[in-house]
Parts: sequence; C-alpha cells; structure tokens
Amino acid sequence: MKSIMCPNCAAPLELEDTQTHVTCPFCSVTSELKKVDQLIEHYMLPVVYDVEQIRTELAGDILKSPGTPDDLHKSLNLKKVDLKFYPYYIVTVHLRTEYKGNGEYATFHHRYKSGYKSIDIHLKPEQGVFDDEREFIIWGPKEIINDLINFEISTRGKRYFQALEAKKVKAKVVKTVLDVEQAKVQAVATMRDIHKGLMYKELAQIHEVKDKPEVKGIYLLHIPFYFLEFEVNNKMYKATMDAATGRTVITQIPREGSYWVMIGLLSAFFGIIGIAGIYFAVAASQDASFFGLGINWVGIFAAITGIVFTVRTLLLGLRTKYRETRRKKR
Amino acid sequence: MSQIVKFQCPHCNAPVDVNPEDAVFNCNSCGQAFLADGTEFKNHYILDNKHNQNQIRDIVKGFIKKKGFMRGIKGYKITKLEPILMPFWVATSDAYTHYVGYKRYSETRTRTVGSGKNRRTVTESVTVYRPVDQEIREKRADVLLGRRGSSMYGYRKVKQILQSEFSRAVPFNHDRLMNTEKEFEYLSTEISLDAANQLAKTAVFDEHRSRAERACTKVFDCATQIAYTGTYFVHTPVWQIEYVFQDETYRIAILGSSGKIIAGEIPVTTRFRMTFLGITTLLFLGGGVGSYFLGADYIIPIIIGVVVAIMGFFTLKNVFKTVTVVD
Repeated sequence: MKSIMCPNCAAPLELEDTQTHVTCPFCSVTSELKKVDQLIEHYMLPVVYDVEQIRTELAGDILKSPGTPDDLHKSLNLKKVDLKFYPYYIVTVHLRTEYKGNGEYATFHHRYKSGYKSIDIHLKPEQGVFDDEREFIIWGPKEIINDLINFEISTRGKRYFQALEAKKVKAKVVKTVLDVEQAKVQAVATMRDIHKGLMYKELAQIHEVKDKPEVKGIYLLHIPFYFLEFEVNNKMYKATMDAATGRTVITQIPREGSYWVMIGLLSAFFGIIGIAGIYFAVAASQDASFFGLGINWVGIFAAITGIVFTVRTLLLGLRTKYRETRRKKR
Repeated sequence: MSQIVKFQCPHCNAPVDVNPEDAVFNCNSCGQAFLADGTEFKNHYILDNKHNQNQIRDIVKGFIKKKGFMRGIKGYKITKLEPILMPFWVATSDAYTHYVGYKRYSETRTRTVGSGKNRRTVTESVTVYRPVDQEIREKRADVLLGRRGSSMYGYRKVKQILQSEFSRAVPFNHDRLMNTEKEFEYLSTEISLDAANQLAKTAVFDEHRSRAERACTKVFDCATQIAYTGTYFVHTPVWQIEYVFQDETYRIAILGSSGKIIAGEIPVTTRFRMTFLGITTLLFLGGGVGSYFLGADYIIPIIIGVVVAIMGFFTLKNVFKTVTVVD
C-alpha cells in the first residue's frame, strides 16, 4: 500500500502496489503515478447492481421462460451470495509473417463446356506475407469457468482498479495465474495459429517462416460477478450474474410441476401418433387392404412429423439452463 | 520519488476523469475531441440526433404495437431512455483482391450411344473443373466500434447501418451539440487511428478471403491490397431504451439520426405461446387429413410430412423461446 495526496483537492488516497492510476473519491479527478515498478493498465468494472437489484434482474430473466412460477419476484429466496472479481486480459496483437514454401497450382485438360474434365495439381515455389492485427480476450485465473470464458464481456464504464472499491462491496478479487508476459505469449500463440491456418490455405508445403509479433496493447480488467444460490419452492438453484451490467451469465430455471406435465402430455401426444404412424405405414405396406382406409398415407405422414415434433418438444422443453448472451466463436 | 499528474481538458481546463489510454477523448464538460497528446482531432464527425425524448417514446410505442401484434402487450412502462453517443471508426478504402483457384462441380449429360437395335440414351454424371482467376475491386467503408471487447445493445447492427448512413455525418460541432444533444452520454474511443486502420485491414482481408473461398472449391492464391482514402471518427447517437412488462425488462436500441429501430426485444406472452402451440397442432392434424385425401403415392405424404415437420420446427421454437428479438 502507498499513500498519496490528491493533487486536485489534497484528500488522502491509498493505492495498491500495482496501481498506476487513482481516482479521487471526493473530486473524481484521476491522477497518474509515474515510475511504479510494474506498469500495466489495470482496470475494473464497478459493481452497479446491488444484491436486491440483481435479484430482480435474475427473477425477470427467469420469468421469460415458460412454466416458471408467476410469483417468482416474491418467492425467489437468495440463500447464498458471492461477489467475485474475475480477471481478463485484453490483448491486441500485430503479427507480420513472411513465409516461403511450395504452393499449388493447376493445369486443366479436356475442355468441356465452360470448364475442363480433368485437372492436374502441381507445386511451385511461392512466398508471401500476412500482416495484420487482432484482439484477444484471455482468461486470467487458474480455475476454468467455461461460462465466464465464453461470456461476451463488456468493458464499458471501466475505471482504474481500486482495491478499496472491491473491499467496500466485500468482494473477493480473484488473482490471475498469468502474468502480463504469459498473457502476451498466449495471445501471440493464438495469432500465430491463425496465420498458420492461413498459410496452409496458401501453401501445400511450408519451408520457411519468419514472423515478427508485436503486442500493441494489453490491459487487465477485473469484472465483478455474482455467484448466487437461490431457493424456489424448496428446491435449490444456481445462477451467475454480471454485477456490472446486470446480465445473466447462466442460471438454472425453476419450473412449476404443471409445466413438466404439459411437456409430458405434448411429447406423448406427438410421440404416440408418430409411433402409431410407423406401425400403420409398415403394416399397410404388407397388406394394402389394411382397414381399407388408405391409412398408410396418413401413417407415413404421422411417422415423419410425429417423431420430429416429439424430439423438438423434448429438446426445447427440457432445457434447464438459460444464458442471456454468449461470445461468438471465431 | 513518484510524480503525480492530473488530467485536464486542453480546451476548457476542466479536470477530467479519463482513461489516458483513450486514443481520442472527449471532455465531459465541453465535448471537444482530442488525441492523447492533446492536439485537436480533425476527422471527428457526428450523425445528428433528430429525435427528442417524446418522439422516441412514440417510436417505441409504435414498435411494440406493430411487433407485439396478437400478444396482448398492455401496460408496459418505459423505465430507461438513455441517449448515448457511440464511438465508431469508419475506415474508407479502395480494396483490391486477386484470387486464383478452381471450382469443381458436376453436370449430368445425356447422350445417345450405339446404333440400330442397341441405340439407347445414357445419362451420366461428369465432374467439371473450371479455372477461376478473378478480382475483387471495391470502395469500402469499414466500421469498427471504438471500444475494445465491448458489447452495447445493438452495436453490431449499428455497424452495418453506418456503412451507408455515415455519408450523412457532419463535422463535429461542439456548440450545436450543446443545444440539441447535451443530454447524451459521450463515449470516447480506446482504439487509436492507427489501430483502427489495422483492424479494418484485417476485416477486409478476412472478408475477401471468405468471398474467394465461396467462389472456389480450392483457392490457390489470394492477395489483398488496401489503400486508405480517409479514416473518420463518427459519433453516432443511439437511444438505449428499457421497458418493463409484467415485471420483466426488455431492451430496444434506436438510431437517433433516423429514428430507425436497430434492435428490440418483444415479450413472449402466454397468449403468444398458446397461439403457436395451436398452430403446431393444426398443422399436424391438417397434414394428416391432407395425406389421407391426397395420398396416391408414397411421395405425397412424405413431402407433406417434411414440409409440416420444418414448419413445426419453427412454430415449436416460438412456443418455448424466452423473448422475440427484432433486428
């Protein structure tokens, strides 16, 4: 811990050792502390939603699913609330890759309409350059939490990390196992993989690769998440919520008994008709005069539709988890 | 000894709470844009906001009325009406890509073989290889959100809209802004001019390559060249709206310059679910009746079955989904 005086209003301020910037809580002027040992931009998102507000957001999101208890805003009973700040590195990498090798080209034979009927693939020496810049979000902690890794994080409203602020809301700050250098290495490795993929599109054999990675920017961002355990009608459920934006990372959905009965009836309705359809279609194909009703046509239809509908109803209806947003996979 | 520096706006000297990594930053009190080294930034544009709070309320009302048709949405309340100036980089460029490869496809051909009694028609499949050697030449306007790792509601769609809309942007004028848009929250950019051009280049590169890959079975070579014709920083007015219906919150984003809905969420009500469950059941029964009367061959009930199954795939989705997203 370091103590300094705010240069604007002379209020006393406290800083963590890694902190380079401090915002005065009295006059909201940001000051920069130069010549600290470990210069890294370290930010945090503030906890915007308090426990009561996050409970309202959670209940609201759950209620958007069918078959949830109508009185959830009253009956949702928070049993355990954990607030933790999780670290993400945001890294911008520039990579210039020069490559040499053998690329493919083709000669065509036997003209046919607008093309050819045969093709011969040959190799010829080829070289080129990839030069571009991309941004990566790298998960800092040791613990792997896929829901948080895949969560589409928002950096809006970030401010310099203040240990005091996390303490004020009684939150635990999760440390990163990756230091800045390791985060850079990981981002550069991902970038190299992308260039490698591109190279294999251009070349069949790679002979020589020279690359020059450059990390254009890196910062560490701590995002607050609520880990909740809640009770609805004597059953326990879990949820993870983003405390900065109020979005639901993931939650289990409490459903009413009548919902399961409905899903059961609906899938049974489609399923029975589907199976009956298969029976009639098969039975009728062996004996064309079966019932004399031409039921085999209906049977074929019912078999196809009934099975598809049953599977769809079960897949959609038996969902137990809800996610509000997910990061798109590259 | 540590040295302490406080940040001040170079234009009006107000002390500011900024992130010094901001590449272009806007003073909270006067709104003027500066580069990180304190020089004024010239290519700073803005799309004029043409709507006030009441007009936005009317747009929201119209949207919910139109899209919430048949859902019985009554008694919703707008709880948040927040105007934001979102920072975007628009990199205009002339992009040129040359790609070489081939496309493989098959054709069926019929020909007559033999003679006399043995004369017959044969149908055969021929694999054809067509060499591809093409160019993509275009003027582009690549739009990037000026924030890293950000997700603001509707920003993806704003990017698309800006590609055509940004020609209406006018140079940023602080005085006019004070009159009409003083209620807007400014967001500055964290991405520098240089980085914006670099990221735009990556976007062009990726898009042209994927276009080449779509045109060919195999791409042998694909090379892109880009010449920038100007990079602009465009502040775009976006209204972020939240409304509550039956204690649940839904979001809408509206472009302030045109009043266009960028993205919006519409509640899925019990009435809506029941309607689609009804439609699903009717399709099912209707298909059965149809197969009974039209069935003359195996193919007809199979076609009806597949059609109804596909339609039911979507109607059942509507029965179970949590929210309707319009964009």
